Amino acid sequence: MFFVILRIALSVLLLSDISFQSTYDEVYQFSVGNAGLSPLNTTIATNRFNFDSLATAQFWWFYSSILTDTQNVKSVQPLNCTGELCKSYFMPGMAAAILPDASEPPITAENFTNALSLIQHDAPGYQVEFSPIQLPIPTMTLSDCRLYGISYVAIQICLRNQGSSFIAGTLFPFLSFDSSMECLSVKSVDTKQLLEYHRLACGGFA
Amino acid sequence: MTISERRATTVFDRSNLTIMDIVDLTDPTPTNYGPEDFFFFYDIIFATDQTQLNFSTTAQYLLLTTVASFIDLTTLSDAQATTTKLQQLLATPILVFNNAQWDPTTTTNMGKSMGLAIPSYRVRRGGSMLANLGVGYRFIHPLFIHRGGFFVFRLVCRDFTIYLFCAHS
Repeated sequence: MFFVILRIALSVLLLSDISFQSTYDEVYQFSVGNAGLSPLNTTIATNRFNFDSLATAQFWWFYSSILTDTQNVKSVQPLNCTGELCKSYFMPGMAAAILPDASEPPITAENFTNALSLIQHDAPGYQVEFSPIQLPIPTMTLSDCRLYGISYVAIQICLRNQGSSFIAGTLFPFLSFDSSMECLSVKSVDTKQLLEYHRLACGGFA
Repeated sequence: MTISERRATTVFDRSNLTIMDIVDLTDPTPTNYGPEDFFFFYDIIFATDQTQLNFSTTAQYLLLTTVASFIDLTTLSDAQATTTKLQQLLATPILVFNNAQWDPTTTTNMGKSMGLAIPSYRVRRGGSMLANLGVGYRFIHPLFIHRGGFFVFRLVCRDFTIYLFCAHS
């Protein structure tokens, strides 16, 4: 009986702290032309036919699901913020956008069928972190905002540098200002003050 | 919002190209993006001219109305959802408007190596008090094997770990 109890106790003790680590045993390596995500670059619009429509379509395609589509991002440990409202994502670039190396033999679904993972080695990506604006709230003026739209539908986007970060907000001016709020803050204590900035910013719209 | 550049090794699911794991992240490098970098693209994708013929069928107008409806906030309880929409608005240009998407032949310092791999799991030893009984830099892991008699204690060295076998035979 003693040994049975001892065995149960030790089983619990020894097995209660086991963790699993994913490992990936590579069976084939190959070179590619380019993999990863390159920097945001405004020059891509230069001398490109029909860029406006193409850019709009591309933006629209990704916008509504960019932070939930696991082909685009993965949550990672934050670098600069903590707490429930701190969100941190890493964008490694899409696998579908990898530029193949023409000198490499093609890999089909019939090759290495037991290799279920595709590994992109040492490629650049971008970590994006979002967190509520910290008090005191920095001054934001009209010059930090742009208004887009026409007489009956518009949005305003405010964006300014704050140290190594951005502070940002949006507004849907069609509604009464009292029911609109700064989007990066869900704390009511922040909301009232931010609404004042929005009212200031929206003066040009009315 | 803070944006940092980091290199990493990314594991994708081969069947659907979803990201399974991100490992070997390097130290972050701050980016020098400014609001103008973002407004440059917002100016393009939200450009709507009411005087233009058939403006209401342009991609820009339709996107504008879509985004406006997304951030249409009517109650404070929608605040978190609206926050997410703003985050999406800010994150999308980073993913979409770059050379890797539009002109991959002109990119530099990109990843050059890929691999196919078999995913598996390794059971890691925990940090329980017993398992952390250390002898120098080595850990002692007591393993109890019950065979219905008495215990036999053995020490077995494997790698840098000492396993203490307490066999009951």
